[in-house]
Amino acid sequence: MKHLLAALLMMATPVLAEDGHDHDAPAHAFEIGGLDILHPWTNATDHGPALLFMELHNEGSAPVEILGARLDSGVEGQLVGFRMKGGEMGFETLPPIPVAPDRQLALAPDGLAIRFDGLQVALEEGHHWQVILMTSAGELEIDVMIEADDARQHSHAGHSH
Amino acid sequence: MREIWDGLPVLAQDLMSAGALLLPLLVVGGVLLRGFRPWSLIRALMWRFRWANLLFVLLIAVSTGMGIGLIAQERGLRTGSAQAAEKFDLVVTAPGSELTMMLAAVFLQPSAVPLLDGAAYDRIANHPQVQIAAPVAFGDSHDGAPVVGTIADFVTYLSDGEIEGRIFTRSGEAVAGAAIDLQIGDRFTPAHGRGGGADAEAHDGVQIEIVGRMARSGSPWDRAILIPIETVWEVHGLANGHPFEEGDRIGPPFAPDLFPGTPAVIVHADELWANYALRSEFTEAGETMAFFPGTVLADLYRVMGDVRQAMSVMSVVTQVLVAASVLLGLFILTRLFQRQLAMLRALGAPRRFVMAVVWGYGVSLLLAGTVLGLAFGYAAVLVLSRIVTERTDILVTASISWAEVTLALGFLSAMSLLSLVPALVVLTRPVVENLRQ
Amino acid sequence: MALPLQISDLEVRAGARTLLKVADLSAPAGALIGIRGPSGAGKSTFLHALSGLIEARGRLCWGEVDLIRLRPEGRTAFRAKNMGLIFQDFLLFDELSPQANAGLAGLFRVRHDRPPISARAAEALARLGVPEGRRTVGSFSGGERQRVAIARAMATDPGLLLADEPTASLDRRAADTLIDDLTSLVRASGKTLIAVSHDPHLLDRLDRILTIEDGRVTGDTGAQAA
Ligand SMILES: Nc1ncnc2c1ncn2[C@@H]1O[C@H](COP(=O)(O)OP(=O)(O)OP(=O)(O)O)[C@@H](O)[C@H]1O
Ligand SMILES: [Mg+2]
Repeated sequence: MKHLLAALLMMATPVLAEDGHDHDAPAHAFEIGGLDILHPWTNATDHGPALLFMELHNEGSAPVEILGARLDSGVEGQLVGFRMKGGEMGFETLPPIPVAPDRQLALAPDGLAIRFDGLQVALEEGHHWQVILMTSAGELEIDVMIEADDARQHSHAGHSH
Repeated sequence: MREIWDGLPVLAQDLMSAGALLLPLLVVGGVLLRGFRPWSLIRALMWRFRWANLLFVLLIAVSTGMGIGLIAQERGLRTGSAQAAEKFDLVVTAPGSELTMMLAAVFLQPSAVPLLDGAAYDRIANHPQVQIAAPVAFGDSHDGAPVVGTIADFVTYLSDGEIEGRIFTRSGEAVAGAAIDLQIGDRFTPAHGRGGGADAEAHDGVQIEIVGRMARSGSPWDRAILIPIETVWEVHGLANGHPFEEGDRIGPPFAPDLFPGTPAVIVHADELWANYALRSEFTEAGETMAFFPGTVLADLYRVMGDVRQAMSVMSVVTQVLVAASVLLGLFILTRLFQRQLAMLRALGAPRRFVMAVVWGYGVSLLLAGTVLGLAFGYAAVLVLSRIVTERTDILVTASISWAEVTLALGFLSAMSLLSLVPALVVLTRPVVENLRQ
Repeated sequence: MALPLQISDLEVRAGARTLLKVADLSAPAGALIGIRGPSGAGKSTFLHALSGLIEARGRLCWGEVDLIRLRPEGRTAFRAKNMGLIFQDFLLFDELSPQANAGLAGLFRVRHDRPPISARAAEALARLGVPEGRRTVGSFSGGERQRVAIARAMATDPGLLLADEPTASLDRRAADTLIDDLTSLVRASGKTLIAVSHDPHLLDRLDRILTIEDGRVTGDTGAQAA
């Protein structure tokens, strides 16, 4: 179901755009080395940390490792995993995570995320944010939707799955 | 500034914020009391109005204690339930409500849940990143305690290997949780179902022997009896997951077509990151659902946090009301000793001294009430924790943290500033008028 | 140190009403003066004016200091240094010992004033025959209480003692012994005493009697003497 929709969404971006989407919005699906990146998003924030979420699906034939992300300004984002420890919620830094062929990986609240500390500029709701995703298959600039500061999913969630 | 602050140890931060909260109190106290010794007069007033004072102190103590108890208890419950779920990295079940599945699989709350089949289990168990894939089968009970079928590796993992006696090695053996009232060597017959509807006769003729006991873990599993999952299946007249030629062997691997199903699989990966990948992989629409109990708890705590916030508001309102009535009481009491205060002025005492007496008197009541309130709060948390632990087997430890101390200090500090009002009002009336009364 | 009193055109008003009007009055340091008059005449008002507890007009000089010119806190300080006040109903702290009550001024005075204050308080209590010990004054008789109040007034070694009906709450015998003790103590120390009283036994023992009626000084036994 999800695969199908993800595929559909990528093939039919223009169709979807006409389907009530913001015409000016850049694409929400990206690809590198067979790895599909869908709906990257983050929460609005004045001062970090910002957590970057997305859905990943390896459509290629080789595993791809997710290494992290960075900004043009040089600020680096690290892979972190949400953890409950002794009743306190927190994040733990993680090593690169491989996505095997035909497997998927979701970066989502209370799960995996790429965390940016020490952002210089505020992330404003409704705007876009340019982030460079670092993978073993190379780097890729992606366009991240900035959702409300209390959003728990990206705003396309309603009709994409 | 911020960086310096963030760089400080937590205790230093706590001490400094407590100090900052107390600063108004200390400054006012320092200014008013400098060079004076009003304490014998304050003691005299304390004694003169002892019953009214006692009432005020109790009022303050109860309202402070309530607020503190609430926060501390909520935290205790949060920490306790999170710790009880700590061993459960990832749970895979049939699709449904994550909360229901978590309560059933992690907190062993009775509920009817759909089963995962042998193929699903096989896929999980054979995943290269999975270290333990433990089926857990619940539904039977003994004397109210859940009887849970699983595999030996999971029992070892759950108890960190701390088992008195030994682990089960064949069908018909059991390892008891720390809170179970059976001794090693005892035998029991499991009842079908749990609670009031449990059918004690359904499994007549089945005898299970306790061969080991797990160390206390502070989780509902302390009150569970763990048996081989094969025993659960056999007792219910199902295949036991193994072909006939394997004989009495228990534990994985299971033959998928002889696997009768399991409500949940507890997954433990050898590496932390793998859990996140596994969650994505084992979440398959219509087939399986994978979740982190920690995440479900986090959602739950967010709701609890909202409730706590609402209750905090209520307790703050209560505290404000108590504060108002204590202030009113101070007004009334100061009128009762207004003549003596006027006498002090007539004897040449400066205004500041009279203020020091009235303010010191009010603050002494507040201080006594706040300290007693902390004690009340702690006692309340102690009692509540014991009750919750007894009822749920989630080990809730009572503790008063800086958050509560800070709350109490904030109240004390704010009230001590307000106590200046009766002290000032006393001075507005002319000395002679008060002397004449 | 006792101070001479010099009053001219003193006037105390409450709204439109004149409560007290004293055109001219003086008294030397160390005088023992009684004030008598009918109820409501303004005797207490006069005492309050003398101690700077109420606003007044005119001139009211204790030695060089005109109380009326002083600001309120200055009057308070002057009172603390120079005056001891004695009230009809004692106004003690029942919960405290006689020593603590008599040494009350030490609680708001600077540190080096405290030892002499408690020493004088103890001395006055002994001379007035107040029972020693830890008992609080709550259990004291009226006579004993007024002695504690006198000791409190004496503890700061003021030049002036102002007393408002000091014997009115006491029975005859207690009053008589108190009068003996008070007057001899005051004379021995050379202090000025101004006492409002109806008690002839007390007035008899003083040097000079002022009569106040309807807010005016209508009689002064010292006027001819001076
Ligand atoms: N603040 C005030 N406003 C109006 N009238 C006042 C005020 N203070 C005192 N008085 C009035 O002034 C008068 C003198 O009062 P004062 O207390 O001096 O009398 P007194 O001679 O001491 O009487 P007593 O012997 O009863 O004590 C009284 O009529 C009293 O009611
Ligand atoms: Mg009077």
